[in-house]
Amino acid sequence: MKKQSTIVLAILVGGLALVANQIAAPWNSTDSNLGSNTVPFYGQHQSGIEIQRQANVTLVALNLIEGSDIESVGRMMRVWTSDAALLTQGKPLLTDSQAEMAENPANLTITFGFGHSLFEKIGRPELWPIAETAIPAYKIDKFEGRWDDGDVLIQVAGDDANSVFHAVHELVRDGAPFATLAWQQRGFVNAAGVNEGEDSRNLLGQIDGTANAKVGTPEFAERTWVQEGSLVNGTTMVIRRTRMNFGTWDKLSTTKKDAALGRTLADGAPLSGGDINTPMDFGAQNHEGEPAIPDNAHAKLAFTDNNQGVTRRGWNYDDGYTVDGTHDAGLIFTAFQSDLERYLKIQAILAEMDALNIWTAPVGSALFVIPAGVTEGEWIGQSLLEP
Amino acid sequence: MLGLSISALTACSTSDSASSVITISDPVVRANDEMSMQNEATGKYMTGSFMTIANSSDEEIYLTGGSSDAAAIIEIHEVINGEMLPMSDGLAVPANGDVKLRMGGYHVMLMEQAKELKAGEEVTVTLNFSNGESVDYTAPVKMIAMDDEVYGAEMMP
Repeated sequence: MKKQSTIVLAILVGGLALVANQIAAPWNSTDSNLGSNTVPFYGQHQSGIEIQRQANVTLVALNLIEGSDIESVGRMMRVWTSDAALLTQGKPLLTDSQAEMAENPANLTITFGFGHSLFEKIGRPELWPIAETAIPAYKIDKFEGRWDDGDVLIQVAGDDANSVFHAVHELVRDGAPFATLAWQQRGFVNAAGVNEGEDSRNLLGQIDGTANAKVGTPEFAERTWVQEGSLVNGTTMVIRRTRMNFGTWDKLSTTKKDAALGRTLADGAPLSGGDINTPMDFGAQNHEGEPAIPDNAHAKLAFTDNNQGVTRRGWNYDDGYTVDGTHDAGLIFTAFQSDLERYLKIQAILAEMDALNIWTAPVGSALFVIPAGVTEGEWIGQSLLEP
Repeated sequence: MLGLSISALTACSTSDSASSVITISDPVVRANDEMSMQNEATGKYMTGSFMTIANSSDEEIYLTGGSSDAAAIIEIHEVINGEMLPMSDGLAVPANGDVKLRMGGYHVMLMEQAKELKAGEEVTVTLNFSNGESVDYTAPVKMIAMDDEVYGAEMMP
């Protein structure tokens, strides 16, 4: 009988050590002022990854203007590093266009990444720190050319939509001498204080994030942070915008919905029994003698043994209804992994067999490397661009 | 440029006087752009620097001038009815108070720049005060959008 060892391991090691330096405790309802909560900006790793998802995210990709070089990218990152260090702490910029908007950061985090195209544009492709340069094409892809790759990524997340807006606005404005907007995606999960301690649901109603390593555990670090090389203490980030087909999903029985996932919608428990924290039992049979967890169930196919998991941080998006009455909504799937190969192995299997492919379609895809965190006086990306 | 640190970006000030009563915080220098004025004769750029200057003494102190490797001439200006005017008497920093140099108001003018200043660079300026103090600050260069009126006045050295 094959058991889900990763969760067992997480339980065993959980709480043994807090190695990360910027783990914000999730907001809890006894806090008097969520608005004044801050997450440290400086640290070994960039903030905004090893933290329970805040309520709102805006992902912005920018492309360098013509004539950019390694020197101008350095100046850009010095401006942005300085901006992020202030805004995340609730401090307006001297040049702030609406200074009062900076006063309630509400766990604001700002995280920067570089795309492979940046290194090509500045003529330094050898500084790209990982083997893969792009996510390969899969037969399920239905890209629309609106949310793909980009030279620089900024992830702005926080528990207040106003402060997220303001930070994005200031960063894009201060970046104008260097880069122009390529695309943006806005997402959300539960508001702070809702379902505390539980993962938020995606828009298909499924609890999203089950079997992630817990923030602050050695397992989280092992899955997420690069251990050596120029990207040490950084990570790789995959962004897949996945549109959901609610027209057919809504008509499914709960039994069929559960079967597609391999877990119950109700509480996330595996169909092999137990609760959400019970390891999946792929040998278990239902009363008809068939596998309790179907072979094409999402949770089974995405399951990884031997601690080869990734850190998934999905955000729901809602673009409203289209003129034909279709609800254009879905998941901005983001994943962070110390080794991109981990993600690629899982994605290749899901692309071929995942039952959920019937109701979901990737419409955009991007790959970025997330440089290490910095201490005061350094700028984000310095470790990659000044090796 | 890449080698420079950004330690000064979050604001700091230093003084060569042990009994310093002047503090400069949150300094910034406006990057040159297509709106920047140039000396018609020399073609050299000029720009503004902004900050907060605090005075912890019981006496009013005047900011009288300064110097910088980045610009041959440093002047103290104010904007009145959209027109930039040099302050020949200097800028008063009130006793136990501060004065804010902001876009559209008081500012330190960097004239006859040594070179064009781009966003993300750093500039060090020394300001001189009527109590004999000279205070250095290092400011990040940032793009600052401004109303036409603020920078539209004809001001040539």
